[in-house]
Amino acid sequence: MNPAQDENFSMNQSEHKQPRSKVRSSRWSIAIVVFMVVYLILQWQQDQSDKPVELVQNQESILNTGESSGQKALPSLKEAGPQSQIEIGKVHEADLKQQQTESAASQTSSRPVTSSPAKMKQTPANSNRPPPGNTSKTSAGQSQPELGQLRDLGGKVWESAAGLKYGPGSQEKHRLLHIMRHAEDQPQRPGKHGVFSGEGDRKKILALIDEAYLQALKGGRQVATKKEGDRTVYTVDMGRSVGFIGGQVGNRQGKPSATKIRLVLEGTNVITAFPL
Amino acid sequence: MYYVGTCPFCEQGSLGIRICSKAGDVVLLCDECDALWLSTNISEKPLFPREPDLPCPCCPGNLTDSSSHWADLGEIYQRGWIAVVKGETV
Repeated sequence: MNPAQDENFSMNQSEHKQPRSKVRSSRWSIAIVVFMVVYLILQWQQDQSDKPVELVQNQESILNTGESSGQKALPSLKEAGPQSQIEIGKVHEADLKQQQTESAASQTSSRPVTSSPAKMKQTPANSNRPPPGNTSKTSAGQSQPELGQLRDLGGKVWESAAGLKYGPGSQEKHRLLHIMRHAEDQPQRPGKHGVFSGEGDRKKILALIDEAYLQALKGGRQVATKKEGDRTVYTVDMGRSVGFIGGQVGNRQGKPSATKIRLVLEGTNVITAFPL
Repeated sequence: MYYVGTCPFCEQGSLGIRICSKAGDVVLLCDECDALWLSTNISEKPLFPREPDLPCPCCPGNLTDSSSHWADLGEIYQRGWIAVVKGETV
């Protein structure tokens, strides 16, 4: 090959090479763009799926606080005599508050500490969060607290999942303590004394009351309603045993099963509730 | 607590004789639903004092302060309500 031919050949070669590298670089840039788009879509989907879980977590922490504190309050109620129940009420309130702060603190400390909020986002598969066991989901996918769970509204007022409010009042100084009188029999009480099933578990008792209230709002043949001033009395036939009749009369009759729940309300404020 | 019967409103609570915190007024108060009667005639409609203080309907006192209390036998006798007492809760 002479030098002229050689030069010609090398020129041709460079002419061929240039378009090939252009094609390669454009392929690469398309691939990068496609990768970026797929990555962004995946990120967006992950964000969307992560949001409800976080919401559920928040609700859970609030509601579980009330639950645990109530269960702790019950044994002290059982142990104490009627004279000391007022003082127990104060302790109970303090307990509720303290446990709420403890629960909030433990919740935050259990989460991994990260330098940036972006790093806290986790896919559900990789997440070490506990599953939202205390929440139920509606068909629309919205999470709702379980019946019987409470959330603190402040001012010593607690709201149940069904929207009933338990606040200060009664001889026991708080409606929750008053309701818990119906967690166990008082055989010496004159007349009847309705006792809820659920082995004195406050959450189970409040769940029964919530269930009765929701049924009362629906109405129907199982619900009898009486109104007097601001007061509303619902008597709801639950269609199953929800406790028994205690007190002097109930014990004389052999503690018959109770299938109804009576709710005495002022608006949504609970005055009392008991089986009958 | 001395009681005069079962509350006709909630049909579960016992009606105790309560002395208010200020003027010593005597009322019947349900220990279950806080329904209140000013006389021993419980066939009348009850009053529902405002929660949670339960102000006395007769004076500026109330039925929840520490100076308010369930009437003892002497106080019930003094006010002439002894005849309606059915018993005492434990």
